[in-house]
Amino acid sequence: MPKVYLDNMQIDYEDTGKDSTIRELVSALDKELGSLKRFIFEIAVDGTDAPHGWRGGEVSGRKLSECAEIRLTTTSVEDMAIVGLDTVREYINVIGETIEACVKDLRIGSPSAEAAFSTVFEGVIEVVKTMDALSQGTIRYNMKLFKKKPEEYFSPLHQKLETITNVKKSGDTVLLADVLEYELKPLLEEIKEEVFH
Amino acid sequence: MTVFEKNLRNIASKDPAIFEGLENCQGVEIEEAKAGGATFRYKGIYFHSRYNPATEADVQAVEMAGKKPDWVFLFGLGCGHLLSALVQKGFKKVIVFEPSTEILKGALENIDLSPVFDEEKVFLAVDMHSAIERLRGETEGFDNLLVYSTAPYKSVFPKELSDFTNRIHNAHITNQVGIKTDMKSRSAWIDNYLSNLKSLPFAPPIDVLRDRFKGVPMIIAGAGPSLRKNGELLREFKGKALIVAAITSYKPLLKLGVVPDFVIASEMVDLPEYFTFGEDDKKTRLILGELSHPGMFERDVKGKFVFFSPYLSLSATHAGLWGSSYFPAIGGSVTTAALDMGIMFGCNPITFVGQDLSFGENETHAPGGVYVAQNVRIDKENGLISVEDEYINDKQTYTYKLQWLKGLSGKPVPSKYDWATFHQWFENYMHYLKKERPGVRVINATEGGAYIEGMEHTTLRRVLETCVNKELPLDAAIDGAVASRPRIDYTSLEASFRDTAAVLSRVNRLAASILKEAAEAKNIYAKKGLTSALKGNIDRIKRLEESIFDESDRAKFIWEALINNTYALKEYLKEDMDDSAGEGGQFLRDLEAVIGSYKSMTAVCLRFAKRFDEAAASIRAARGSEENRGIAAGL
Repeated sequence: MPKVYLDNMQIDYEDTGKDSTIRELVSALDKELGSLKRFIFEIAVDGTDAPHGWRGGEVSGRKLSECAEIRLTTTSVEDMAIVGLDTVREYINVIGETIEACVKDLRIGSPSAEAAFSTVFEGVIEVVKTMDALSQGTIRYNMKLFKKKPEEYFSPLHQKLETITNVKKSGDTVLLADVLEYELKPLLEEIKEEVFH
Repeated sequence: MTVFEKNLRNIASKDPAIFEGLENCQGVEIEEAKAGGATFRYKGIYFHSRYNPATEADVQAVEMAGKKPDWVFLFGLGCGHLLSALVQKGFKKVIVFEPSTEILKGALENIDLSPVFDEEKVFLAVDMHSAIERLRGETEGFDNLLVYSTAPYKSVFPKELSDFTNRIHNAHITNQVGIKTDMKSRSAWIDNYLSNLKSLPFAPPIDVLRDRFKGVPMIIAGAGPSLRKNGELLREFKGKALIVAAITSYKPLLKLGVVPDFVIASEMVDLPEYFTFGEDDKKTRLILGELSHPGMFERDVKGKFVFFSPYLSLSATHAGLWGSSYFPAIGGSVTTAALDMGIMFGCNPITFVGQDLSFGENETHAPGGVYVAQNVRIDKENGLISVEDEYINDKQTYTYKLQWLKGLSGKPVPSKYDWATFHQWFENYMHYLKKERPGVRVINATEGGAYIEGMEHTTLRRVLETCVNKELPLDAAIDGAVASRPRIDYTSLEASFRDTAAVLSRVNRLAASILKEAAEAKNIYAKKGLTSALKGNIDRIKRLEESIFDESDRAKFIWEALINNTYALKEYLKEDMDDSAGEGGQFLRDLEAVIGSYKSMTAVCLRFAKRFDEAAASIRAARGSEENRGIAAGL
């Protein structure tokens, strides 16, 4: 039976069937932590920190009985959400810069425009997905993270991506540069201003 | 005054033909961009930003500025935003080609482009020929040319852009080749002309044959690999058409059983290996340039004719004194000159054979000539072509930059820069001919190789069946023309050589004085640096230079003899100045350049003053011989 620490405090637990996994332990603890708006964030097994994305990885599947020591670190949902928000805001900045580069490449006919365009397109999708996840979290944990509901921008962003896809298919690089520079970029700026504190 | 009229006034002052064909065409619909300025859609796509076309053009102009072009060849005028941005950034040497009359009409009707076209060196072209003509007239081989097009033009006019880029590239190479030829050949040309003075009294000018062959079919044979395919048929033309062979095709033609009526050559080097030194040579006549190697005038042939070229002002000035008023248009090869001569003779139709202008399967020339064995390897990846051949008994390997021309089958054929240059010349010449002499048919019956726009393309058999039908008294016509040769003006020729020799002596003295002043200036600079003490020397150098320019107006030949220095000076002036050297360093560099130039000038003057005195004596002797011959003949 390994020793289990939660935020550096040893805790008691029961592994009745002697075949429980780390995933089951974490799941049980997350349930108890939910009321405190906290969840397990990091894990170290036998002195080794688990890599990012450990919940879906090999570590989660290990049997408790095979481990000597498990150290779990929690974080608050709010802290986590703020980190997420900062990342999204920073990512919007990066997308803005990439739009500028992409527009310049399109205007001068540089082949690098293609790579920059993919970064912008995929980046916008990631931003929407992340904002959606954060928005779901604010409802579940009753937090106030945004100045304005991000969902209001999902539809305009989606429409803009659709426009961009169609313009790209038409081969009109001038129009594509225009939509990126004068429509998508200002929309992302507006989201940054209006949605985030 | 409408916008269109305003544009018309400005642009038409440089090229009135621009507006031909615009009257009945519908212009594109111009839209106002959100931040001002015009845009439009054509073939479903926007050609300028709908928001801010000026900013968009600025981005493009900045990109172009980084390449530091001397001349910009802009494919696509559009609404003129990029052109304006370029001019604003100081790029005022621009040749714009607009491939679409609809776009041009829309732009000229709605946008006032007169301020940019007011610039002296900003030109508009609506056909590629005019754009190339501008390149020829305005740019030099030294110039850094930039061909640029915006993405919409690339997308809508890909073939036109590719053609435009190739033509500009080829025309620029022609300019560069011209410089190389100048630098390599001019001095030898002068020597050849002076050495040929003794032969010219015995070689009538080619224009004695002017209009002597009206309506006579002419065959011009190049030595392209396909020539062998025309062998049997060519024999049937003998006596029924005037057959002119490029010197490289002379022996291959003999092998095919055809003795040409004329062999044309203008090389500055002697080419004895191209002759048989047997009976065949005595059945043909040579057409030689006045600048050809003197050895060529010594060949034992049935007759010799001479043509004068406009390239050397000395002999060009003398042409009239030798009885010639004709300077053939020459595109770098003798077959190009032969075409112009054929027109002058009155021949019609004029048919080319063996004018491949491209590499064959594994050969560069028709068999039977001086190229014994050939091996051609094309490296498409690196754009190179290497040729191993055996020239008589010497094995040689050359590597050329690969160039592509449109082939007879429509597919590109591999070529090299000089052939591409000839090809371009032919197409330009055909463009001219279509306008000026529409009744003349020029046929390309070459069985392979490049397609030449403007020529009819058909088989030699078809030419034989439709254009050739009877024996013609060709020899009698030639003999009659020779007998009517105009008299040579020996007195003026002698005076011209004596005058030029005197000018050279005076220029030599002036150049020597400049060298003295420059040496003194160098000493003053070494002792006192860049001070006002140098002013006297600089002023005197300027005055002496003015005197040299005045003198040399009477002997333009000097500048031709100094062509290498002229090019070296141009290169020097184009070089980026080294700021770290400071004003003093720059002064010294300029002074060295002056010293170098005038040292060369004194050397040229000394060398040629002596030769011109000899030339005057040679002309006097020739006059004496002719007078003696006249007395002996009882004239």
